[in-house]
Amino acid sequence: MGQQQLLLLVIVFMIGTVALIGATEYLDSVDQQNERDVIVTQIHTLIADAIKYKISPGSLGGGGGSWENFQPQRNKAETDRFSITASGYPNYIIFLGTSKIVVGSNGENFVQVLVSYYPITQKIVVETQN
Amino acid sequence: MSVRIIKIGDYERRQRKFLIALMFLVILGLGYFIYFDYQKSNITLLPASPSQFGPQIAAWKEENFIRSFDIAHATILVDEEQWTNRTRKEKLDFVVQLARYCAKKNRSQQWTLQVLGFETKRALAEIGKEGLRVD
Repeated sequence: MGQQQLLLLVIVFMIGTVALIGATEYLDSVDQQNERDVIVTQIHTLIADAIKYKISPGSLGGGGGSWENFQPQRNKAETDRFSITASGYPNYIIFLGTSKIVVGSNGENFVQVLVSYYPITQKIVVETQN
Repeated sequence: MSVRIIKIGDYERRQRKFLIALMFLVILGLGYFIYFDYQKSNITLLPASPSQFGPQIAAWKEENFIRSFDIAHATILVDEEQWTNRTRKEKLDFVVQLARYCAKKNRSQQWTLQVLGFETKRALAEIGKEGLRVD
């Protein structure tokens, strides 16, 4: 094998490896973003439930104007794919969603999203934790 | 005699080619690990379940990051310098996850926690009725 052929082989190998690493990384980040989107979508559903809970009178199992005791429905918050917990306060509600299958950007913990809903301003703040 | 010299030359050339290829592979391998290490966002987050927080809390106490942790009153004193060096994601995770931890221990449904600086007693972060705030 000539020196030029060897050099070509090494260059092809290098380009191939870099492309493979790049593609793997890209697919990983797409996978993580998909998982975040799925969790945030489910949290939107739970926000709607929380609003319904808040406006329902206490005698009907609602919050009677507050969502301090709001707990998301177990079948919506706890699945094989993710787990969502919530804490309600008089002026806002906060959700923490954690994936059970996709590892996040730090390479150790699972994908995690923090979503806060402020009803006065109708604002939903999404913070990507991992 | 001359034939022998050519044979040695061939051998040396092959050896040199092999060394060059090996060096390329070593550099590529090193680059691979450095690249992956660079890609990972180097942040420390707590595990998903509050029941698994124990070892990390103990490690932070040993590092003197957590100076005191009053679970009943949901108040935590931290080293301010180490707090400042943390990213916003780490701070948010710290506040929200430890608030969940306190709520679980106190059998409460609401996550509440106040993070105070050990030196100045200044509120560095809090979650509670007033909202979620991180400095």
